[in-house]
Amino acid sequence: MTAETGNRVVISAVTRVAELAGIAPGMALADARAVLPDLFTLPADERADAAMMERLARWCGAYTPWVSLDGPDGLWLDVNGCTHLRGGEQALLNDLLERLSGYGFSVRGALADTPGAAWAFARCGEDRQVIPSGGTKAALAPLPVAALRLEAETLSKLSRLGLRRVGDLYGLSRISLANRFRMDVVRRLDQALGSAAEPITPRAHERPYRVRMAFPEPLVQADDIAEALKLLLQKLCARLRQAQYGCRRLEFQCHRVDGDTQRLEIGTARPLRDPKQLARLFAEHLNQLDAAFGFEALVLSASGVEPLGALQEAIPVGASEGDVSGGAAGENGTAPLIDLLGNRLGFERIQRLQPVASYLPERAYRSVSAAQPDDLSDADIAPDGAGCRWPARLLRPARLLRRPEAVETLSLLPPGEPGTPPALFVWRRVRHKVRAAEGPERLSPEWWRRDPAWAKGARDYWRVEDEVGRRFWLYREGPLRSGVPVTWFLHGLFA
Amino acid sequence: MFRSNAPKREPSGAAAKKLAALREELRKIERSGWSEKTGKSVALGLPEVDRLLSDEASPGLRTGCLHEFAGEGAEAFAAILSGRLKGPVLWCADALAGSELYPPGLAAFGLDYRRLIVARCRKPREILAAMEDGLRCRVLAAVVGELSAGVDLTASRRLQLAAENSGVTGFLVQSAWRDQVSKAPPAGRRNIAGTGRSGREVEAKAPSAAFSRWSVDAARNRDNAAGIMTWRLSLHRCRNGGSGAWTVKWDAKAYRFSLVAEAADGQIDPPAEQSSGQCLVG
Repeated sequence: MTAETGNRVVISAVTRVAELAGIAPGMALADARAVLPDLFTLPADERADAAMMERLARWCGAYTPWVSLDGPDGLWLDVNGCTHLRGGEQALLNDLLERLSGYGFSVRGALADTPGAAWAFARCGEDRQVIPSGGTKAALAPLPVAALRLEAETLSKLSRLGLRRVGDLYGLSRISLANRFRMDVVRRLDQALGSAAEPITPRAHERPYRVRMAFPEPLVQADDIAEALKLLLQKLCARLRQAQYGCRRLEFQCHRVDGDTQRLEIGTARPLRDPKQLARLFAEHLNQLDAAFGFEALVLSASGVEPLGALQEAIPVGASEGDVSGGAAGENGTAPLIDLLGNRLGFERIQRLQPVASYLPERAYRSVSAAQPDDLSDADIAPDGAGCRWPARLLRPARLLRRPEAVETLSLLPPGEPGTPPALFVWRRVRHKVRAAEGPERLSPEWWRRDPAWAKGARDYWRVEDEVGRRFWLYREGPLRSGVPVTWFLHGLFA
Repeated sequence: MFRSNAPKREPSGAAAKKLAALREELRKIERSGWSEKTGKSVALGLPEVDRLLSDEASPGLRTGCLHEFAGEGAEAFAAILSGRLKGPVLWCADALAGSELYPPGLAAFGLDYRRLIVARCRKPREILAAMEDGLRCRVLAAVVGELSAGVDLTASRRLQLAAENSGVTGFLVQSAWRDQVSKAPPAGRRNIAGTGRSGREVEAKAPSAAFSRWSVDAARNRDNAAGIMTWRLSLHRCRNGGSGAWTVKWDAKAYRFSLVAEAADGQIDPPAEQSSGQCLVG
């Protein structure tokens, strides 16, 4: 791992193999390359590291509720009163470190009376040491002074004075130490030995948005389950309101008496915390639950939450008439509908349409999921859509065939004169006599895009009306050359 | 009911009053609170047709009701009418049809693509359910459902009731196009155009609770100008008691309907008339 400090690239972390080869953190990358030419480096991602530490800290909550982060690469666990749950101190430490190394982390750990001492043993002492209570002072003595969490400057001063071990400091007078090194050394020593308090601030405990309900008699009736769900939703939404959150995903777990667990999941287009609306989204899926002998516990958890500010509770129904002329203004009103349909049909099938700057008929628009109005920021799309409407003068059909279909044609003109629409064509075995035709409108493929459908080159589009008055959008493909048979395709249907 | 081509007799004096009172009475029986909630209309812009559809106060097609369109121009008609209403439009499309809604073409009908929410449904049942949910959502202006077959009385009644309660207008669209796409005639039989199921057959089918039933069939463009579309518009049934048939043209530039004088050309799409026989509900 490399990190940039100023204009130097420095090694920030190394693997065991690289360490054995002589690469150490703090080396310049150029030096490291000189030592090991085929060194493989990656830039360090501190934010990802921090996020990982945060997750690890949360994971350590299984051992003790009192977990706190120590710098970028350490964790404090206050296991006071928790050790018996894991069969003793050594067992707890071993279990924790086994599991972490099983996940692929290289970890060291120690258990001692004070945070300072634990830090010292974890980093400088033997791995997986449990220092017996009261034995800290003796055990700490052979460790290097670096174990005391001192600054580099102080450490170099100490080493110049020949004070290399922690034990070397024990005999010195506190006053002279304080005079020479300010309070640092004394404070750190006191903290390690426990004569100065060093409180650990635990991470704020995140309560998951989860509510549960257990029943002495199992629930069997669908109505009862719906009622229980309503109560759960009210509870959960009250909590969400307090925290100013709305849920995007909700999971409803039903634990059956026979040990089976059934799950229902719903998603919402935007953060939502209205119990009634959420209940409606669940209502459609409740009949998928198989109660069999009944449910003994119901758990409702919000697996995805997003901030949602305070809302005006009830909007009078009549007020929604005027504000929905544009698309954006109406979004809030249609959100419940999109949620409802999205949970039933799938959110990818509830779409909004957007123009795309292309003359090719099938590329002139695209559908985006209506649930995500945010991903409009594409280069193809003008911010308000105004600059990118479809040109009105180009008459386009109301329906487009999913793929153009070849039609049999009959031209009344001699084959020497191409470029004219057919006099008669057969589409899906129905004969259409062409009464009027408008065109051609020549559309050329986009040369910067390889599109197999347009491989044959430009198309001449014609608007054609048959003798009944049906209007079709036909095109002729390929170059016009005498002798080459002309193929016609039907691409669209006008209303 | 009236025949459109027969001269319409206006009842006069006391008879008219009585008729109006009776109509009012009927309306009250039909639906309580119906006129306040859904008293609005969307006008076609054709005084002759609008008057037939609704009362004098608000001529046009009633909002908050279900209307059925069939024929080649059904979608266009639904698009035009929902374009004239204010608000978002839910379009319940048939995802498995051979052709799909083409938004650039909708611009010609005055329906802005930004107002559209498209629900791509795979089954008629999904379309009906989506329509019903849409019709309950008061924010919407209109809900359009593409169906290849007609709906039964129960389904249409559910939709109609949902529309009445919310004031959202529903359009059931049975496009003749999709019909043709999904059901090509069997091999070996070559058909003359116009024998696919047309909107004219709709009236013979199962009853429906829709407020009005129309067919919008293709008709020949008399003037070959770009942006003009001509349809043979037939009103088969309307709860107010009107029916009729007109040839109308739509000007995609002015977003306006106008009637095509029937006298100008005696034969309106003669081949279709010969094949299926023109008939009107009288």
